[in-house]
Amino acid sequence: MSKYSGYMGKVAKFDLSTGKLEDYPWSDQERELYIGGKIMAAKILYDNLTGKEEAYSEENMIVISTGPLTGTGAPSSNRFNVSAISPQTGIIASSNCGGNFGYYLKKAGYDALILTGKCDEHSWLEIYNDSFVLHNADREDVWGKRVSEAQQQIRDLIERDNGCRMKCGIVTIGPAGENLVRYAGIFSDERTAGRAGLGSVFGWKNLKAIAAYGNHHTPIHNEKKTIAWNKKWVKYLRAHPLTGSQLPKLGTAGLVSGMQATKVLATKNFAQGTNPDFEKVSGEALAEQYNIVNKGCLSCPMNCARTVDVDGKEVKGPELETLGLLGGGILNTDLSLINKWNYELDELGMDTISSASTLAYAMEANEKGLWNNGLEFGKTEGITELWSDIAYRRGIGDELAEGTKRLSEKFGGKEFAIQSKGLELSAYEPRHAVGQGLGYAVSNRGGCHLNAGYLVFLEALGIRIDSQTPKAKAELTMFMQDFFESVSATGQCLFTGYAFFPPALLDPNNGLAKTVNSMMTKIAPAIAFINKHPELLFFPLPIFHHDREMKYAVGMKMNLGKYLRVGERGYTLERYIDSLFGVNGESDTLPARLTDEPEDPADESTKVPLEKMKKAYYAVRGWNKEGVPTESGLKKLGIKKGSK
Amino acid sequence: MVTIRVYGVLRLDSGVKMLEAEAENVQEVFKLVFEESRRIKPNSGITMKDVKGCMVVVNGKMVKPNAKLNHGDEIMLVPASGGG
Amino acid sequence: MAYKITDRCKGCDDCNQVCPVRAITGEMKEQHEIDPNRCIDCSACSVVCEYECIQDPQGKPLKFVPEDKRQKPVVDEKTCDGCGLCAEECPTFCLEIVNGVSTLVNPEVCHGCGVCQRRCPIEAIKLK
Repeated sequence: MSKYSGYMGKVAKFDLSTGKLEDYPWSDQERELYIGGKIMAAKILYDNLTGKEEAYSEENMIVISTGPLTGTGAPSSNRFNVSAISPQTGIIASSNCGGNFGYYLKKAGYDALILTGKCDEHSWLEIYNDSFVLHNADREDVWGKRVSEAQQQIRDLIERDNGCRMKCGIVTIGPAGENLVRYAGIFSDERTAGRAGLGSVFGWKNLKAIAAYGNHHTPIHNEKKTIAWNKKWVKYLRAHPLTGSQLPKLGTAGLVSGMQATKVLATKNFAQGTNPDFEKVSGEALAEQYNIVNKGCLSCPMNCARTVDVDGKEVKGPELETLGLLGGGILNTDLSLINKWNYELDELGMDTISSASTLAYAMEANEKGLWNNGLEFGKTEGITELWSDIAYRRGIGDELAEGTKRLSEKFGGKEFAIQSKGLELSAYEPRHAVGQGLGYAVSNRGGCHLNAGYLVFLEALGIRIDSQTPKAKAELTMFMQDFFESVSATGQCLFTGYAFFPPALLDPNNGLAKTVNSMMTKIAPAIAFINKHPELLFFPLPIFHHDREMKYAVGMKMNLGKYLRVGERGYTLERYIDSLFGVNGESDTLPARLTDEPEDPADESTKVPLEKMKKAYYAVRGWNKEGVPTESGLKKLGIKKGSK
Repeated sequence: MVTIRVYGVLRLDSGVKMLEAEAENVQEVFKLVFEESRRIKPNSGITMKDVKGCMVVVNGKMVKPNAKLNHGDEIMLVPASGGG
Repeated sequence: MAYKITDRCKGCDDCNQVCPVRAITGEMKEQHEIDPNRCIDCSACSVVCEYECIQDPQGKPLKFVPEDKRQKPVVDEKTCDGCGLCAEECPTFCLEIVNGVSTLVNPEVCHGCGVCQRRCPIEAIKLK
């Protein structure tokens, strides 16, 4: 039990090899230091490291964790996190999902679920309160099924066994996860923990799916105050131009035109930052021609998800990454194909970002004569079938299933293999947002735009600070990474963080925005000072709502400073774990295309000055010159015991 | 004559997608878009501030709101956005 | 937590008929029982118990609501943000988000248990 509300107070450790269930000890002190979600998962993985972990090994633990706000009704709070060693990167990966599994894991009475070992036959796991049952997935006809069919089959089995329809949360993998495609995802309803290939870790463990349900309620500390705060916060989110207007009306897809305007729209495997045909594959086109209705994740007031018609079926529409990478990324101008592919990839159980990026690499390798595979930019025939070939590892699909990094090691062309640490980059081309480039390179799970700190929002899309200068980018990257890390740990969506930036800052004519835009890159020492002394931010801010949600719903005292510190602890801990797997400054790389070739040949500043920014970043983080957290730093953050 | 294209939420809210008109500078573009929006969607609630809050791109280059325009310029108006 | 049936139960079996998660067992004309491992505290049973023998988790006896007085959820469409918690919580699959707003799509199976009202984080649903 916990003195805090929000938590169920229990963590389950379940051994897939033996079927043994244990309560995993998790204290209130750990709740204060690590909150939940990905930070909690990192701590659990760290405490259990044996040194023998590989992605495909019995030692590789899967930790599925929720945040204390999951299930409380706080805005956009029903997210859960899956962490394990990734088959793409070989280091710790955290993959976040807005599906309802976390919500139901808490109904079963658990804040987190730790899976060890490996099932000896194809299985699916049913969790009802304290009852954990492994079912044979072949006999029950779950193995081999596509994602939505597998989910339906499990719902039917549960209805059969209970004698009535039961609400439950399911995570499942698709055929891609079963066949160990390195970028297979994990799916809960229509939402995806897509990145870093954790679906194939499930597949290797012979675990097709988990269904959780139960009759517990997430306790709320002060119901009256929580409801009042929810109302206030929801009102604020709905009045904000991004969370209340752009995201609901256009979804993340609405970013395409802004990315075109600011030249960060990855085109033709990141050869360019603009796409002359962007309009055909934009959020506006999606909204005007295809969108049926706006949808959202459970408990979210933003409704940024789309639904589209694919072959007469209403299905999930593409997100920005998918639109960008399967549009201009491969010079495709047919939006209806993207809708179809997006659905197909979800059903096969693959990450759309890595799938698209791997395809773009293969097209360029073919164009350059390195790998004769028949794939060409702009040629869309046969791609639908190709996704299936990848998921079932047939023909060249078997090669493509290995992902960009491994393909470039085999066929060459590392300079245009758009990945970092083995994870393919998202749709943001960083040469016109160099801080985003730094983030991609240092990100703990490899080339991810969010784990990167998402500086492209400050450098191009939302606020408009100087996008080409390396100045202050290290400091801002740390700030944003730590901030996002904590938002994620509480179970909330990072998008709630956009409302942290007041509307005035988004208006380039506003006096405040003008000042911030010109000053921000000149006040690096001030940002560094805040990063170092976040405890000075102990007072409530009208733009920052997350602290009081934690206070009212969880009963945990919080302020922006503490919040940033928890984020720093999480970020540093993941980096430290990565370092135990050999990660250091030399691993923080970008493909030469982005660091050596200017996007605009006439403007030398349009490339990522990575080495310079990296040095500054390690210094701001207080890591050593090799980019590894120091013993004293780890002690200061409470990750390691002892005085600093 | 210049070509003005409006993007993002501003397009949905104002109803203005594309406009061909005479304009000598960006300020006139703002005015044209605002007036067109008034004509197409009189009750949209769009204000001049919403229009002026956009990034302005002329022939692929970001410009300041006081920039001058030439005949044949292609102009993009894009509001701020966020997501991921 | 979980609801309880007291010894005033006459075994009419009405509660068992409505329980959406099959948490209630008992022979006809004998005292029924609620399985605390299954009960989701929705109160569908107490609404139909005319002998008023069902208690909430705090031990408070609950009132019978005659069929013509049973309330249904009414959504304040201006306040509702379509977050979907009510629909997810509704044990009888009555609510759905339609065009961004919670909507009672299966009024005929709604027991008026009030879970939706209790779980709404911004008080946008009232039983009326």
